[in-house]
Amino acid sequence: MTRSFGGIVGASLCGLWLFAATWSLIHTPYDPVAMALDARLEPPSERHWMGTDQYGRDLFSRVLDASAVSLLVSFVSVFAAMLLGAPMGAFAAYRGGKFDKLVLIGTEAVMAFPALLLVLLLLSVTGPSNIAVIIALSLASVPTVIRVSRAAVLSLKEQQFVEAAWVAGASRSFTLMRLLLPNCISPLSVLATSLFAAIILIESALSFLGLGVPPPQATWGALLADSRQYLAVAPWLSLYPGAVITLAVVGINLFGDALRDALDPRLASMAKELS
Amino acid sequence: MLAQYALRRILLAIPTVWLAATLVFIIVRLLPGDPALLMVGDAQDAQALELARRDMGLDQSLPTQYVLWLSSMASFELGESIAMGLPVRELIWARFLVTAQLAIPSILLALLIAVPLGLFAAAQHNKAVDRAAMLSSVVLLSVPSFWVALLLIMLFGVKLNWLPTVGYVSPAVNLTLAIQFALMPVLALSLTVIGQLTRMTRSTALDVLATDYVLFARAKGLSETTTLLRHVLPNAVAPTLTVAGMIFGSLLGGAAVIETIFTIPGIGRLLVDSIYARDYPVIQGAVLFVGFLYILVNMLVDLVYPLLDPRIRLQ
Repeated sequence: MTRSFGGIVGASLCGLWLFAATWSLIHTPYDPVAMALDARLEPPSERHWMGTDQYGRDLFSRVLDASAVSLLVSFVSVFAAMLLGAPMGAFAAYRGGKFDKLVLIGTEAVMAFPALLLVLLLLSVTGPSNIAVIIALSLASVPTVIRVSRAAVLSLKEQQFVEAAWVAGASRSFTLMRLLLPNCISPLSVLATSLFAAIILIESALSFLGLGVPPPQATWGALLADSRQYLAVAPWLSLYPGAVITLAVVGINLFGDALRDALDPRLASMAKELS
Repeated sequence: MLAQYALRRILLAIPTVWLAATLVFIIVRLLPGDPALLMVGDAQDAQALELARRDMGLDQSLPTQYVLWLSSMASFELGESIAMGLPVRELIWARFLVTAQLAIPSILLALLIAVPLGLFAAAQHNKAVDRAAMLSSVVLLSVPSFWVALLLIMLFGVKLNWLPTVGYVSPAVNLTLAIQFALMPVLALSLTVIGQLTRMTRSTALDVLATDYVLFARAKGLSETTTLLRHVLPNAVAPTLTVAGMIFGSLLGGAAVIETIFTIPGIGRLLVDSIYARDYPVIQGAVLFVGFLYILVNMLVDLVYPLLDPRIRLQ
C-alpha cells in the first residue's frame, strides 16, 4: 500500500516536472531574461510567485526555464550512458574471456574517481558547453551501466531459456539482442532512475560552481549560485530553486524505489514474508 | 590465510592505480587542447610555446611522454603550480589535511546517526517509525548538499547569528573557533550521507532479520534488543561500512562545492580554483591524488572486511 503510495507521489512529481519543463518552452509568465530595474529583489507576491532577483527578473519564470535545461541535459546524459554502456556490458558478459576482462579493468579505472571529480577533469579540458557537460556526465556514468548490464547478463546466461535458444540454433546476435538484453530491462531501468537522480545533483553542482551549462542560460545550480550574495536580503532566491531541485530528485528517487520493488520479485517477496 | 588475502588485495590495487593514472594521462594529453598553450596562454608567442613544449616533454613521441609521465608520477614529482608557483605536492598535502578535518567528522557523525536509525527502522519494519525513517532518508539523499549549506548559513549565520558564516580556522590555532567554523560544513556534508547509510543499514538488517539464526535467537527467548545488538548489528554492519568507506573516499575529494561555499581551503576547492585558472599541473596532481586516495580507502575497507565478517571466503 505505502510502497505504491511512494511510487504515486514520485510519479506525480516527475510528471509535474516534465509538464512544467515542456510548458516553459511554450510559455513562461514573464520573459526569464527580461530585466525590470523598478522591480528588483521583490519578495514573493501574486504577481511574482517566487519573487524577483537582483535585476528584477521573475524567479518563477527563471526556475521554469532552468527546469527545461536541467531535464534535457540530465536526460540526454542518462540516455547516452545507457545506450553506450548497456550493450557493452551485455556483450562483455556474453563474450567472456579477454574482452570481458578488458572491459572490467577499464570500468575499474574510471570508477577509481568520484563522479564529480571526473566530470570536473573532463570539463577542465573541454571548457564548459552544453555538449561537453552531457559528454562528461555520460562518460562518468558509463562504467556503472556496464557493470550492471554485465552482471545481469552473466546471471541470465546460465538460465534454461537461453540454453534452449542455443539448442534450437539461435544466432549469437539473436540471443544477445532479443533474449538477453530485453531481460535486463528491469535492473537497467532501476539503474537509470538512480543515475538520473545522481546526474541532476551533479549537474546542478557543476552549474553552481560555474562550470556547467554556460550563462546566460539559467540553470538550477546557477540560480542558487547567484542567490548566495542575497542570503540576508532576499532568502527566497535560494529557497525556491533549492526546493525545486529537491522535489525533482525526491520524485525520481521515490519513483525509482517503487520501480525496483515492482520489478525485483526477490525484494517484493521478502517484504511480504517479513510483514 | 589472512596475510595472503591482504597481500593479494594490495597487489590487486596496483593495476588499478596504474590504470587510473593512465586515464588521467589520456584525458589531459589526448583530448583537444594543447597543455603548452594553456600554460603560456598566448598562441602568438611561438618561442615561449616551443619552450613550454620542450619543458613538458611535449616534443617527444606519445609513448615516450607516457613513460616519462608515469615515472614522474610514480616518484610524486608533480611539478609546480603555474598560478601559485608552489610545488604541487606540498599544495595538495596542505589542502588535503584541511579536507580531512571535514570528511572525518562528517562520516563519523553520519555513521553514528544512520546505523542506529537504520537498525531501528528494520526492527520496526513497515511500521510508522520505519516509514518515517525511509521517507526522511529519501529526502536527505535527494537534497543538494550546497542548498543545505545555504539554508544553514541563512538560519545559523544570518538569522540567529550563532555561528560564523563562512571561513576556516585551523584547529591548531584556535580549537573552539575551528569547531564553530566547521559545524555547518560538516552538517551539510553528512546529511546526504545519513540518508544513504540509513537505507543501506536498513536493507542489510532486513536481510539478516530474515535468517534462521535470528529466528533461533528469538526462539530461545532473547529479548528483541539483545537480538538486534548481538546478532543483527554485527552481521549487518559490514556492508554498511563498505559503502561508508566508498562515501568517505569521495568526501575526501568531492567536497568541492561545500568547500567553495564556506571558502574552506581544502582539496576540492583547490581543484576548482585551478580549473578556473587552468593550472594544469595542479589539476592533474589533485585528481590523481584523490583517485589514489579513493583506491586506498577502498582497499583498506576490503582489508578490514574479513575482520568484521569472518564468514566471507578469502579468495
